[in-house]
Amino acid sequence: MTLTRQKTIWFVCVLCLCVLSLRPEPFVERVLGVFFAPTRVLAALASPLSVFDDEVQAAAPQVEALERRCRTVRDRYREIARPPATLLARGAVAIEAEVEGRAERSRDTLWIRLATAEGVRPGVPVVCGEAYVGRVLALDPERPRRARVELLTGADFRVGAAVESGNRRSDMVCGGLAPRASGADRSLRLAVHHPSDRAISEGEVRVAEPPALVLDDEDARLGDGFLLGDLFPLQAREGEEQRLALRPALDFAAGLFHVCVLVPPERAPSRVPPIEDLFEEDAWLAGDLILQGELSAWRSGRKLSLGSGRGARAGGAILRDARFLGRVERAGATLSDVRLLSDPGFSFPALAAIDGEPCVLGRLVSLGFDEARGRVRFRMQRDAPLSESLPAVLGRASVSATLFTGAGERGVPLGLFVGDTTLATRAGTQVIEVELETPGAGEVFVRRPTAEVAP
Amino acid sequence: MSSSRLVSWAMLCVWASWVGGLQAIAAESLGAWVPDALTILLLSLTAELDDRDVPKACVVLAFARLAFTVEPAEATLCGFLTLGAFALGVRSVAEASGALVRTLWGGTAVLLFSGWLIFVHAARSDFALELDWTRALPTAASSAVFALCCGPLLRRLPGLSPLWRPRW
Repeated sequence: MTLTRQKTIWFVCVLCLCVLSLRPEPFVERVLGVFFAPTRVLAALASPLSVFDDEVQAAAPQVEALERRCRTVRDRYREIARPPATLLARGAVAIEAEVEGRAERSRDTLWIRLATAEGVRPGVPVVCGEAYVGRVLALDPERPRRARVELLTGADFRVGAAVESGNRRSDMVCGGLAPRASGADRSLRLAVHHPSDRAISEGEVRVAEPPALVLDDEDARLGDGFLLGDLFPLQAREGEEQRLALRPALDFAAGLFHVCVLVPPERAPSRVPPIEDLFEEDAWLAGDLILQGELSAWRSGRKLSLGSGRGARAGGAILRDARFLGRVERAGATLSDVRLLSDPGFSFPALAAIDGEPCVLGRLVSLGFDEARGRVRFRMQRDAPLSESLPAVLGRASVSATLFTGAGERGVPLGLFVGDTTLATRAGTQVIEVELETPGAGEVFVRRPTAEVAP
Repeated sequence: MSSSRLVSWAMLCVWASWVGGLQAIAAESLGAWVPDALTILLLSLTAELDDRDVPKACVVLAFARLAFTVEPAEATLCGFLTLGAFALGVRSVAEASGALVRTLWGGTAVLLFSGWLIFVHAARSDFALELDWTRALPTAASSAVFALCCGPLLRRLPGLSPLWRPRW
């Protein structure tokens, strides 16, 4: 059999596209985004069909009420994330920052967006409430108010610490992770190095940086007194020395949404600006969802009339009537793909408001729309029961909760409304159901890349 | 290319856009039972087009599909080009416009194409999602019925006849 030139080209194209379908290349995706730019024309040709859309817009007072709820939850979480005044040594100033995400190659490095970068230098401590989180590694030279933070869980991270038991004290060094347990408890544990008194094997461990011997880096000592975790002994093998570990005070895996950076008073700004309002106009771009529907019945997505040329970026949150609808999956030249909350595999960081108090849930993964029950199902995994974050729910098997977005991903701000649900308070994996409306065609707002939002 | 053929290709873009739009809207109420009309349109065209025009039709219909879906462009184009190649094979051994062939081929093609897209979606999620091929079955079944009932109509869409290969 002879292959014509056309068939050969056809075959090679199919093979390349097959590989690229399974292992996408960002450069090729951008090129294809430009190549398929004329799809906007085809989408526009079908726009008269939107008369079949049955979308009902929410009334303005309802939207305003929902926006107020979102702001209340966000402000309450920010309040919890601020350090107590008693721990602010020597008049240190706390500068608020929202977590934007993890570094691509290291889960122990965060990107944060500061209210202001004034006074922030590499090495200053980062805290969340009473808990110590890590240190600022570097400020982003290209994007103002953006910094990298090394977490306490980093393999090379070390911080001086101490635990007191009665009138005895044990000094130690903490940082990095201890090996996970082999039993049911698979939660993260922090490593403890060189404890001065191994006989002390329980108690609260707090930061206690020793006076520097060579370099007088007073910045590091601003973190003194912040909580690292609870000390406990690890199960030692026969003949081995007793080792110690810490149960961390925070959920480092999924629970970092909002932090504060400590700066000394001599470098602190005269006035720390607040984090921008959640619904500030400058932070959102107006666009339209084209038509209500998706050709692949097992998916849940929409096309957005904004492309990368007009500011849309992958990861940007989609908002309508103060509700989080989904995220931009791909920003083409003229149209963007939007994944909705009901798209199987869609995931986002989540916060629950339970009896008015915010509680970090971690990451929710969508299992798709359950047609029989008329709800969207999400999978949620928690290493600890809800009562550890919210003592008020102790003794209750399940609680009613309102879901909001958490931070930790670029383009998704903390505090957007998702929906109401019922949560089991136990630890482990559970499936939760949320009643969500299917968005029709019409106006939506897309989160603008944060570097472009004015301070 | 003659002006009549250019107009025909433009008409194909328009028809593909409307078929895709109607399919998207119907999907909201019919769910998985909505037939994959765009894929059936592609198969109907490949029964009549010249060999050299089949890849062009695959690309045009991929454009139309990408206007109404969030599936990745690479996967959609790969799927349509593969279906186009298979369609040429089918028509070389059978009368592709016949009722039985277009029904069976329509259902099978949609099943294969949907299965491919489901696989790509799972692969891009690092297989954290369950591969549930059965989700494609209702679409394949309804598409087979659609091919049986509406296949000849799709070939008679106004403005497309200059694209057909000459018949002896």
